[in-house]
Amino acid sequence: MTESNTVMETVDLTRDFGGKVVLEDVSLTVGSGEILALLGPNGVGKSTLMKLISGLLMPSRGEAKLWGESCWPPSVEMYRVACILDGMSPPSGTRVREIMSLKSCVSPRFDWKLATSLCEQHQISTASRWRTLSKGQKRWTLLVAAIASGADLLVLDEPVDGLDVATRLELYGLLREQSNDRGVTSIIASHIIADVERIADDVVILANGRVRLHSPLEQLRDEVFEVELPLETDDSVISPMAEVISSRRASDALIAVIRFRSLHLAEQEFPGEISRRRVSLEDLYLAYTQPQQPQAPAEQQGLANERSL
Amino acid sequence: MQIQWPLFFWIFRPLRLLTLISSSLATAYVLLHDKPLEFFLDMNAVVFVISHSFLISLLLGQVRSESFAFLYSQGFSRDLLWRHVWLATLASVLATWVPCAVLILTPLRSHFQDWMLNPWFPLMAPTESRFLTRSLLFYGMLLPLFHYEWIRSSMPFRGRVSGHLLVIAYFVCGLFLTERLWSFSVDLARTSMFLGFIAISAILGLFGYWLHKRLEIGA
Repeated sequence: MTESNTVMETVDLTRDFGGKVVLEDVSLTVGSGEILALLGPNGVGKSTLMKLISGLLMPSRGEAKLWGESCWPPSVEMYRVACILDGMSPPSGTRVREIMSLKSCVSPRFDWKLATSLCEQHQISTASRWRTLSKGQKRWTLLVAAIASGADLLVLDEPVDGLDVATRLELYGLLREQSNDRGVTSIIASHIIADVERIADDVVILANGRVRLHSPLEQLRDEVFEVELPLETDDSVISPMAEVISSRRASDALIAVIRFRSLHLAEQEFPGEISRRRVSLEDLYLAYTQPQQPQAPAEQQGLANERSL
Repeated sequence: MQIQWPLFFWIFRPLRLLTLISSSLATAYVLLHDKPLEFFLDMNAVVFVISHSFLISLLLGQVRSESFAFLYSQGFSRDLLWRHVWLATLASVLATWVPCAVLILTPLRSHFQDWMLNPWFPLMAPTESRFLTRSLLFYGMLLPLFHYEWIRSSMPFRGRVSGHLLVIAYFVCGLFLTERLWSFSVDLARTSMFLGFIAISAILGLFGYWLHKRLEIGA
């Protein structure tokens, strides 16, 4: 990714609330046209990261930048960013038309035709008041306002919350279209991992406020497998060729989710011995975020080093 | 200054009911009050201006609410938002006082009171224009103070109550000095006191603007 291609960059971004560190040393880069999925358990700092990127929160340490300009205090032309963030919604008496008008007065590229047609497709009248809309319609209205705004960066926290499957797929189609046609970058936080797998280019997994994984999804598909290794496999043999993400001992084998550094080396080391299968993003997510099960003392000895690989 | 009308109406929305009530009350008071209007000697008017200013800034200072957070997440610059907060403030004050000004200056009030056989009118009517200028001056002193108070209380760092304490100190000092200086009738001292309070308000107005630029949303 060239520097001019970089839309968002964070360097050692840290944020605490009253001494409790929510996000720690997060360094990420997102390029133009990418769709980045932010994954992680509740309370891990996804929403905080999004607010920091959107210039709504001040970092305790480090920096977030959009197009090379610091997000705090907000100095970039923020109309280039459209956000849907948790805990932020219009007053109940607001009409859909007013939400669109508000967005159009900050975004010179606002596409009224697109906004109206996307609302009508979902039986949302622009004269409807916010309180009369269903949860899914509210979410769709905000998404329409964000997409029609012509923003170059979409920051979407749980964008599909309340949406049915068909609407979710329609949204993903729209995001992909925006990415391909206009180079719009999207940063999406979601708990629906199967959906993320469908749309994301890059995946970030946060755990305990830190980035545990940042990788292109395609690369993960090629490199991450669940493998069955001989029970007596020593970690010093594995480490040059793979990162062990999680592992457990079965009766006759060591079963591990690993990310190969060199598949070629692995096949040389275990000719015909490795039984491997692809893992879904969901399995990978669990491997990164779930605490390891407590092991029996004998097992712990064999696995102690694997965690540090 | 470019006015973004959708933004203005959005910000003004919480002030609509307050403005309707304040405008009705002020108009009725100005029309029906049967003594000559003298701003600082008329405690009803003073309390009205204090309450109106306080409520305006309270309603516009709810930056921790979901709807304000939504507005701040829409990509407007902080300067633009701050300007429109003040524009909405001004609109509420003008909507309250322009009808009063019309009554006093046309002079409908004078005719009405004369028609009601009030002996003060129309003799005292020409002096009442000062009521308008003084009340607006009082708004000018109070609004920066109250806006500062609510922005300050929304800041995430320690000492957020200091805004409230400052307002209390401002009023205690104001009442004490007014009571002392009025009784001695020292013109120079009165003028100095006024200028002092105006200077404090102006400084707090600037601090309010500065804090607003650093206001955290959704913290």
